[in-house]
Amino acid sequence: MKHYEVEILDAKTREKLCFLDKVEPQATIAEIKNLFTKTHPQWYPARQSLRLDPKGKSLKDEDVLQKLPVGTTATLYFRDLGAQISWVTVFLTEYAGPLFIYLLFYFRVPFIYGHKYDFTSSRHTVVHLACICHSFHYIKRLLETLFVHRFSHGTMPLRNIFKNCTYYWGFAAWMAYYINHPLYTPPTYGAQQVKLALAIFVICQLGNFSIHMALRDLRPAGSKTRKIPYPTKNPFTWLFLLVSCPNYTYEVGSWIGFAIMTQCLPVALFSLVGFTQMTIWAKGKHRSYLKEFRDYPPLRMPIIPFLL
Amino acid sequence: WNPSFSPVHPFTVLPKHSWLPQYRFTFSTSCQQANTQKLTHRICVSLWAPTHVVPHPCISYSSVQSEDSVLLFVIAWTITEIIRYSFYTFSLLNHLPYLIKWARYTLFIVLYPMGVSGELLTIYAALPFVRQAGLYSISLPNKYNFSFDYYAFLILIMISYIPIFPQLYFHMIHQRRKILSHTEEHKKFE
Repeated sequence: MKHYEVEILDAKTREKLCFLDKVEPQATIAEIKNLFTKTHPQWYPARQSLRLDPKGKSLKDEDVLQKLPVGTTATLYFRDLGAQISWVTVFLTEYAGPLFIYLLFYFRVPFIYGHKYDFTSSRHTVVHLACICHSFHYIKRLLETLFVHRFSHGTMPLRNIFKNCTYYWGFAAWMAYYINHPLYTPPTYGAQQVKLALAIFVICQLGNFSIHMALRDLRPAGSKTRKIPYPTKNPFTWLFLLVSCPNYTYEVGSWIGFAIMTQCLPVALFSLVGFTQMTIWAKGKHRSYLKEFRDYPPLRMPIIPFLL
Repeated sequence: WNPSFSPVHPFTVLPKHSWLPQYRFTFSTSCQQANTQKLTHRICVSLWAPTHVVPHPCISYSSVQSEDSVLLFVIAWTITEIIRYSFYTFSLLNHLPYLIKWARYTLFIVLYPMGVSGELLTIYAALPFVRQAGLYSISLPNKYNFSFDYYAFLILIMISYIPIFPQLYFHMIHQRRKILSHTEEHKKFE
């Protein structure tokens, strides 16, 4: 069996960083990354990007050396992706924040509102309902992160945690401040408005959860396979007929429901910003699906049926 | 004293997108000449290349308009913009006189601090009026469950100059070193 030799060069400076000889032909990129870490321990595998061309796409961890278009002496180019943090850590941190922060405002912890309001409780039912919905939403997200989602990538750049937490925690505080304010004004159309909005919220939360479960079932544990998602017996998943990312559709719907229920402008703004970001992600996902699968259902739009 | 904005000055509604780093893109909106006969409030929101949102409460209280600080930034930014747009125009025509390039990358050393000082002093001068009139502010309770304190917002804007301006200024200095020395080398080989 012929062994391969692998040399790893810096993609920017072309400096020779590492030379590996006697590499098995069936070695995967993941194994090569581990070998590279031995000579350069500060570059753990998650922050390595190895590619065949300095400006090309990153090779995947599962790619096998033998199957790559290289001779028996392979030249790989290395780029440092920067400090990495796991997706799970980021998700748990960014979701735990809003859960906790909202409750600080709900219980009217001192120094937020005037001292005469410390630890008082709102007399409006909708305020208590809003706390339940908001808390439920983030508890659901935390549990999904721990038990449902199957992530394609293990890590993301470290700076993302600061950016993401600022967004989630900041908006949570801003919304919670007004909803739990002693001068909060309940919805104009009263109980009718609250009931309708609550129904929208609950339906969309169930929908969102159904989609997450359906996506999880597409992919066996520990794998990174990608398949076209299809509707299942669960009626909430029938939105897949019209949309590539119904999880985002339902998510926007939940927040619109919450905004109507609380009749609070900051909530509406949060929904708008979230919708913008999710639309960008949905369009990207939709494009990847179209590129990867010839037989992708043509009726589907990225996030809003028939429109967007 | 009534500042009349020069017609040459590009105080027009133009979204100008700079090729420079994202925090340096600009628009300028029309800051219409505040007519002292009409008692109307105007906000000149100029997002200046390379800076940031600077609300100028050009309230038609003539005392704010006649602040020297307004004159300061108007002059600084007028000169800056004239040079900058000439630079872009000549670049597009592929005939950029060295003088324009030099001016763009040198005069900012004085003009940027002038302009920023003018803006900051203007905002500071306007603060009492904003507080008194409750300008652009909304307080609780209201049916949108929202509040906004323009006075506090302006204070935050002023504070934001502290991290943003040095970054911008030193970026321009760095660009100057890169671009003007590059030209020097080219000239040597001609």
